[in-house]
Amino acid sequence: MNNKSDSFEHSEIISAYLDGEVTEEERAFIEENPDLLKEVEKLKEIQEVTSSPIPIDPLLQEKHLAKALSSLPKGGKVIPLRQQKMVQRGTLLAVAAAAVAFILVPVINSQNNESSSESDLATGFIENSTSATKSSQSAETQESEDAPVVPESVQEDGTATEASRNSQASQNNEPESEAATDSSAPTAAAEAPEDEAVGEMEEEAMEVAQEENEVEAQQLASSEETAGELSSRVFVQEAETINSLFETANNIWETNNDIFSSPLTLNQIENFFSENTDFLTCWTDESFFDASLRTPLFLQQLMINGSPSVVLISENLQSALNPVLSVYQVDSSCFLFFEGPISGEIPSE
Amino acid sequence: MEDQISDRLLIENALNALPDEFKIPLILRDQTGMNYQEISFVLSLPEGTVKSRIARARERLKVELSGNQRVDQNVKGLEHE
Repeated sequence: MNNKSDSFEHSEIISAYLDGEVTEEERAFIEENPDLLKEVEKLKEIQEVTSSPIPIDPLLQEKHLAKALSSLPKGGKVIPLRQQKMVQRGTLLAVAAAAVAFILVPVINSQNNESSSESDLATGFIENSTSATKSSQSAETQESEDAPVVPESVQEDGTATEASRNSQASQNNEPESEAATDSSAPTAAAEAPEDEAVGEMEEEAMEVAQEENEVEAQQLASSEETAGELSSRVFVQEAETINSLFETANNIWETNNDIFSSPLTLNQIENFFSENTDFLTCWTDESFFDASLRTPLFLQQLMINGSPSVVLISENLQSALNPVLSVYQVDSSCFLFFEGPISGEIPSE
Repeated sequence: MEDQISDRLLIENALNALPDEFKIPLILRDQTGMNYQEISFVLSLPEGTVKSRIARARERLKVELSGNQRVDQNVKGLEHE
């Protein structure tokens, strides 16, 4: 009995010795005993085998792939991660990023200004910055010489690309171009493609609006008529801001071509959420950054009518749509507040 | 190559034959490189239990694999005869 328990105790010590989990005394005990050292060698062979990586069975791999492919929706389109049109899309992304950056400062400012409507302030700024962009078409060199006004959140979080900083540089032209506001500029939203999903989302938005206030619902409807097909859950008071955002995006897209085209790195995304902990729930939400669904290209926190929001611009990998602009807010959980394609058309080469 | 595959299958079979209570700590240790403290935390087991279960798992594997080796040697011996 004693021998058995000794043997078991020894096997435990030998196993722990292999794992480097013995005391100095136990180590000395093993290393002084040649029989135990032989046992160590035997167990070492087994450990080498059990710690070697398990190879992937090619047949099993094929089977899994076939299963995954068969589970795709019929008629679905597989889009490679790196599309040939990435360069074109980069332009669109640049536009969107710039648009977000454009509204960042005034919208934050508007939160602190109780005497006036936040929405109006934001919208007003967007209109100004839109015209600034237009004026920049003829003064690109001046733009590049101007010192960019980068908000702290952008400077610190490191997620804003050089492109978005460039776009902010054009904000400096704001005072010079106030008079040049052109309300007849075509909206990106007006070009948005019509599809069933979009229609459903709009109906939802309309229903909510009707419950709140019939008059407001009518305003939303008219706003949608002018803005075209905004795919969204847009509440009445935010509709104007969102429309302006898209209008700005479209205008910047027409005048700036090479702002940025790089997907965000994992580090950049992690940095963003470590500095904006209120939105951590969005990061942990699987659907938010599901790499099989979308490639994140731009992230920014901003205020929309007093509510902290995260703007994500991403390349949608599951459809042929242009980059998608999504706005998330946090209530008890992270929810999609608004989403829509940046432009309905991919520019021809 | 065939030998390697055959060995691998033997080992996998031996591993799969282990009860979970022995197999899981061993895999956590050898495949993921966790130390005993981490495994005890993950599995909510005392460290001593983790230590003994890993030791038992290895002992069983040793017996199982040496048994198979003996069988293999006998088969090879018969083939030569």
